[in-house]
Amino acid sequence: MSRPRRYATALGRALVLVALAPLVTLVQAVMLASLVVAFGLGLMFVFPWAVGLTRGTANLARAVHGRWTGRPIPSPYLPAPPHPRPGPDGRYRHLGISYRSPALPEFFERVHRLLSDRATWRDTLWLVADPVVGLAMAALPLLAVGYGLFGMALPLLWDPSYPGDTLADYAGVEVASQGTALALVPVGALLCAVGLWAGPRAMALHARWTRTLLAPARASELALQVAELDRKRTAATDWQAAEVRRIERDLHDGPQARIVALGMTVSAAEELVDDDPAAAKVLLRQAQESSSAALRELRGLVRGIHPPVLAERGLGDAVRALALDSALDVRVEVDLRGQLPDPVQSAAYFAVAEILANAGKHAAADRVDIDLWHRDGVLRATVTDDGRGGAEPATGGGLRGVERRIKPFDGVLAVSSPQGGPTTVAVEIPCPLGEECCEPGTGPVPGAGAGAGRGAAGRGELWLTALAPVLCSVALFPQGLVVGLLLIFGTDNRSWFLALYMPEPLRWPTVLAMVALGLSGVRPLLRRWRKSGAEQRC
Amino acid sequence: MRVVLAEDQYLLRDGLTRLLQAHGMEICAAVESGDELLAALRAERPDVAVVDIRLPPTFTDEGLQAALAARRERPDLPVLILSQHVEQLYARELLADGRGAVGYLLKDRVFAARQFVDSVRRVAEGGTAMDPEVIAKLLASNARDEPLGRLTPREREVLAGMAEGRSNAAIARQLFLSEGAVSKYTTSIFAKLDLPPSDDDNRRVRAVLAYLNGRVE
Repeated sequence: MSRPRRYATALGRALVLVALAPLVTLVQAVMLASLVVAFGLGLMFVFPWAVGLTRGTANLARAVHGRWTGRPIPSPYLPAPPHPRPGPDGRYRHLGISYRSPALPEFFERVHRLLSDRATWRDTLWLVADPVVGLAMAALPLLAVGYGLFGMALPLLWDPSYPGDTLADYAGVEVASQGTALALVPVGALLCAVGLWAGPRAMALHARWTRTLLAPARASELALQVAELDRKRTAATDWQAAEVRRIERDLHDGPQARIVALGMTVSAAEELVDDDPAAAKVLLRQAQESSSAALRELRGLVRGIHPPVLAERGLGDAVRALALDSALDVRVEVDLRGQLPDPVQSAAYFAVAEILANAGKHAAADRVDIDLWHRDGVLRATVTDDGRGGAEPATGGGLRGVERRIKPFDGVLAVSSPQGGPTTVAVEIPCPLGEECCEPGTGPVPGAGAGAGRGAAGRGELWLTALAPVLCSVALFPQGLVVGLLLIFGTDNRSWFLALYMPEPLRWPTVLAMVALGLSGVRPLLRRWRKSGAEQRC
Repeated sequence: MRVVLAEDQYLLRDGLTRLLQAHGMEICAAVESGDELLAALRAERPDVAVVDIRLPPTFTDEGLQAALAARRERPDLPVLILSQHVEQLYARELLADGRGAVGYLLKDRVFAARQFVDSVRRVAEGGTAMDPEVIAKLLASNARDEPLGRLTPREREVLAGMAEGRSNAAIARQLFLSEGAVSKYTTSIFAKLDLPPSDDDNRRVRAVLAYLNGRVE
C-alpha cells in the first residue's frame, strides 16, 4: 500500500475505534452493573445475558481487528455444556437436588461454565481497560493531526481584533501576533507529520493490545483442546465397542455354531464306527466339510477385523490386493515410504475398501483409479471412478461411516461428485512418518511451543500490559520529565504536577520516583512488542 | 522324495510330517523360521519345499520371501506355499518368473490327504498347484475380459481346472467327463483365448496362468 494511503487508512481506522469507544464504555457499564446485581442482589439470571452482551462486543472487536490485520483472532470461549440427561427416574439431578424439568440444571451448568471460563474475566478486563488505553492509542494520532492542522491554520485565524491580541495558547506559546502565528506553522506541520507517522504504528499497537486481551490464553487453548479430545475419544470408544459387539455376534452365529455341529457329527460317527462303518465314513466326510466351512467363515471375519495382507505387507500392498479382488478395473498408484502406525493403516485401508465398495454398488463405473501417497506428514488417498456421479456423504451411509472411522485420527473426507461426471472421494489423515503419533482419541497436539507466544498471555503479563501504558504515559512523561524541566526552569503554575505540591526537599525525589515508575512500564511494553513483532515475522 | 518343511505351529508341523512320511516322502528338515528355511534350502537341496507364509520372527510373509529368494538363487526350485488365506497378490508374485514348479494352497487342503500329496508331487515334478479359491478370484476379477466372456460355463470349469494345475485326467475325474471331452474343451479354450496350443501339460498351465495374470493390468 502506498504511503499516503497507509496513513489515511490508519487515521480512518483510528476514527472508527474512537467511535466504537462509547459503545464499549456502555457495555462496560452494563457488565459491571450486572455483576453487582447478579452477585450483590442475587438476581443471577442477569449474568448470562450480560456475559452474552460482553461476548458479542468482544467478538465485534475481534472481527474488526481480524479483518484489519488479516490475522483472525480465534474465539477463546469454552463450548456450551452438554444438555443435562435425565436419570433413570426421569428427573434431573444437579448437585444433589432432583428437578422435574431440565431448565434449572441447565441454567446452573451454564452459569457455572461462564463463571469458570477465564475468557469471561479477560473480556471484562478488556471492557474496563480498553476505553482508557485503547482509546488513548487510537485518539493520539487523531489529536496530533488535528492540533497540527490547527497550528498550520493559525496565521489564517489570527486577527488583530482579538482581546489582548491573543488568539490562543498554542503549545504553551501565546499567539499574540501574526509573526508568532507564522512561526508556529512549522510546529503545527511537525505535529501533523508526527500524527500521520504515528497513525499506522498506533493502529498496530492497538491491534496487539486487543490480541493480548481477547485471543485465547494458554489455559483457554488447553481447555478447548481437552474438550475436543474428549469428543474424539468418545467417538473412538463408541466405535470400538460397536465393533467388538459385531465380532462377538458374528463369531457366535457363524464359526461357533459350525464347530458345535462339527463336534456333534464326529461323536455321531464315533457311535457308528463299529456297527456301520460306511455311515461313519459319510459322517466323517461331513465333519471335514463343516470344518472347511468354519474356516471359510473365520477367514471372512478376520478380513473384516484386520486383513492378513495388511498385517503382512502394509497399506500399499493391501490396497493392491483390494484392487485385484475387485470386480471393477482398478488401477493403484502407491507412494508410501516408511512405516505408518497400525491404527492409521487400518483406518485408511477400511476407508478405501468402503469407498471402493460404494463405487461398485452405486456408481455403475467401469474403471477406478486409486492414488495413495504420503507427503508433508499427511497420508492421502483418492479414489476416482468414471461412474455416474451424484454421491454424497449424506445419502451414502457408507461414506458417513468412513468419516466416523477416520475422525479419531483427525482425518477428513471430501467428495466431488457432479451428476454424470467422474466421482472423486479423497481421504486425508495427518500422520508424521516414523513417529509415534495418531493414537485414536488423542490426535496430534498442535505446536505446544508455538502456541505459547501467539497472543496467549499469562495473568501477570496481562496486568503488566494493561498497566504499562498507563505508567508510561502518566508517570514517565508528564509527572516525571516535564516536572523535572519545570523545576529547572522554575514555574508558578502547579496545575496537576504532584511533585510541585511536595515540600521542598521531596520534590526532586518525587520527580525521580515518577521517572523510575514510568521507565518500569517501558520494559514490559518493549518485551511484548518484540515478542509479538517476532510472531508476526514467522 | 526329499522335502523341507517350514511351519511354526507345532501341531500342524507334526501332522504334515506324519502325512508326508506316510506317503513315502522323506522330511530332511523341519524348520520354524524364515532364516532357518533359507539355510535349510541351501544346505539340503530338497526336491520340494512345503512352506507356511507366516513365520517368525516378524510373522509377516517371511516364508514367501525366503522361498522367492531361494528360487532366485536356484531357479526351478519347487515350492509349495501354504497359508490360512489366499491373496491374488501373492499368487502373482509366485508366478511372476513364469517357470512353474510352484504351488499356493490353503491350509484347508491338507484335510484331503491324497489330493494334498498329489499336489506336492505335481509341484516337485515341475507342475503347478494353485488353490481353487485363488483361481476363482482370478477368474472373477477377469470377468469383464472380452475373450473370457466368450467361454461357455463348462469351458470355464475346465479352464479353472487347468489353472489349478491339474492334468486332463484329473480334470476329467473332477468334472465327470471323459478325457477326450476335456481335451476338446481345452483346444477350444486355447483357440478362443488366442493362446498357442501345446501338448506339454506344464507349459499349457503356465500359458493359462500367464494369460489370467497378464490381463489383470
